[in-house]
Amino acid sequence: MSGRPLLNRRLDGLGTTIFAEMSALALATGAINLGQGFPDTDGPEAIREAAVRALRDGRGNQYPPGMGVPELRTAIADHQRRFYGLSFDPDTEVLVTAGATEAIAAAMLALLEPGDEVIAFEPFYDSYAASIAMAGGVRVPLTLRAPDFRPDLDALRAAVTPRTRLLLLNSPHNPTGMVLTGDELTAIAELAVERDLLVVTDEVYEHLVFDGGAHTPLISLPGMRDRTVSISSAGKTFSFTGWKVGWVTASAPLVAAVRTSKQFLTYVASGPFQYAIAEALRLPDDYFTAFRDDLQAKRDLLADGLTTAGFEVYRPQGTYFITTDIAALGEKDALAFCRSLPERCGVVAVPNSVFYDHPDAGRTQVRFASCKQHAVLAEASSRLQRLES
Amino acid sequence: MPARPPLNRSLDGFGTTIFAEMSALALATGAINLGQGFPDTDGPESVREAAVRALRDGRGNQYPPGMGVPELRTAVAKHQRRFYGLDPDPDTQVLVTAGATEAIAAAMLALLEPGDEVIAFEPFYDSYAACIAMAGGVRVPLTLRAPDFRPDLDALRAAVTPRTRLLLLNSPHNPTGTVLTPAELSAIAELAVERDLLVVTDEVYEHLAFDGTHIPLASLPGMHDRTVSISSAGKTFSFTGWKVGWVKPFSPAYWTLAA
Ligand SMILES: Cc1ncc(COP(=O)(O)O)c(C=O)c1O
Ligand SMILES: Cc1ncc(COP(=O)(O)O)c(C=O)c1O
Repeated sequence: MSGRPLLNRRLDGLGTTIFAEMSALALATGAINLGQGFPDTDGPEAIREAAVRALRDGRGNQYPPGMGVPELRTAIADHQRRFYGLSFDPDTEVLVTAGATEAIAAAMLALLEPGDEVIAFEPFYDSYAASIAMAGGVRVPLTLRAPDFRPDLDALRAAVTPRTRLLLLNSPHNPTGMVLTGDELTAIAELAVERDLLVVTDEVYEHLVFDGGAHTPLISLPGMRDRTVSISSAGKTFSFTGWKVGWVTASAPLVAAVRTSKQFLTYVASGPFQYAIAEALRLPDDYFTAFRDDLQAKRDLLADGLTTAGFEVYRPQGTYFITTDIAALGEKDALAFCRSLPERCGVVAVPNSVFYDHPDAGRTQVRFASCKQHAVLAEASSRLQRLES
Repeated sequence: MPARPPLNRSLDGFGTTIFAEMSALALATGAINLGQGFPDTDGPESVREAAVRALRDGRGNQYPPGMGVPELRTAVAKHQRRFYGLDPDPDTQVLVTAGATEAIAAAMLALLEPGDEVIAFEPFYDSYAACIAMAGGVRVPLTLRAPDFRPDLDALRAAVTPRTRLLLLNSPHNPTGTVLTPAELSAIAELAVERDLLVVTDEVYEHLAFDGTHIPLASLPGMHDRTVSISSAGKTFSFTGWKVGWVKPFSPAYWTLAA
């Protein structure tokens, strides 16, 4: 075989993710897996049955339209109006994707050219680096620092260069649970307008903002409607992460650009599930409130357990995750700690250090997923108490 | 808005596919749509009911493993054995994808670096050109000509340059229906070995070879370790909307685009 490695060298180091390693450990040791961000309880039965009906009625069993089925595009537009007062044309400003992951990859491949710089918060969600690299872009990290993980807006301003093409923002933020404030959003929007930048926003945790807070899409701010590609998905909001139904809402020219690369990544996906998610998006407000309250209670349960076990807990404002610091436990290295944790007390977590370009900033940070059943979180908490000794 | 057009200029001209335009025409005129390649009858009820059971039993409602669920990887491996006598390891040599389309995109993005040349039959299935472009590759067409659309093997040999990274082959071929013969497959395999090329084979119509049989290029001497075989369930089982595809890559060092 030719001397060159098989894998495109832009993708060096992105071969396997920490999740694969940690899930294998969970399986091998029988540990409770708080490493991966998916719930251990499926979403509403009514929505599952909507998928069954679609399958049996033959809706979505064959290729849906490239933009997504009209029922879902309309439901997405209605959702944006209902929750944010935003108005999108379902025919030209809404695009259905194979989860937020495909939307992010398609946005990077469509909007970037080789050498373009992309500023993103680190720690990063792990597909960002790969998507930027596949597009030949250069990632410029803006480090969120403990204990509160607020973005440093001066550093952001200073990071913009003539080669900056876009900001890739995630709020509520995985893994820190940081939720951008109104003032931060305003400052970011002003900067984007002033420096004429595109912004891609990953809002998959939009319905998981706790403590009475609310998610505000950046695209709703002045000057942002035509320069923002807003991305979300059904996986987290409706607890069906396996269905992979995501979407983009943006101006028609930006949707057209993202659709161009998207149509060649998967073409279409998730046929029957598109119909089911169209119904899910129309669930009454009670659903969304109860879902958020449940996840907030789970956050509280696990956060308390982690605190008692001796972790420093950075209480998240949203998402599925809790970031902790293990220095208080006398630990120095998150990766080594996570590799030993299943053995030591039967719990799997992931090291945040792997989500940084500057691993030192997250050297002692460990992330736990709180999107599991109360009993599971209680059991994990009690197992973690064994660490103190 | 930045003055530069939103779309990466290497994707110029890929904006809308002919299928979108023709389907819109079909809708507007009420014409019978023989433009798009999907059946108007769903696949077997028992397969559909298997999907219903999985939904109701909570199998696959949350993120499956990145390589695909073990049940499907094992079934793909068995299918390769049953029909072609091939023996891929379901744990390391089978990868489940969101249709063949994603497998093709992932293969191009993983295997190509900017400037690499890719030889493919034209007429092309429409995602090939775009995937090669997204990866920064250069496409080199090998024209299949009427009336019989056989590949010109001398032209193929002449098209290989030191920059050729891979051959992207499709048989049974959309849109011409060409099915490569054993002699053609042998010649292609010999060339790939001689010039040390990777080969990506799109075999989504593997069960639709009429008056003959489909032979995977990966089964030929010297090809196992240099071929990425791609297929999918959409055409074979008449559920194109489910988007279940798979890859039999030669190596686990293979990047997948999405779960
Ligand atoms: C920040 C972030 N973006 C995107 C995703 C993926 O979403 P989807 O399953 O819709 O592709 C996740 C899932 O963990 C996430 O945490
Ligand atoms: C040659 C070829 N490859 C790939 C595909 C797409 O397959 P899938 O739906 O599995 O992505 C098609 C569908 O028309 C095709 O004709």
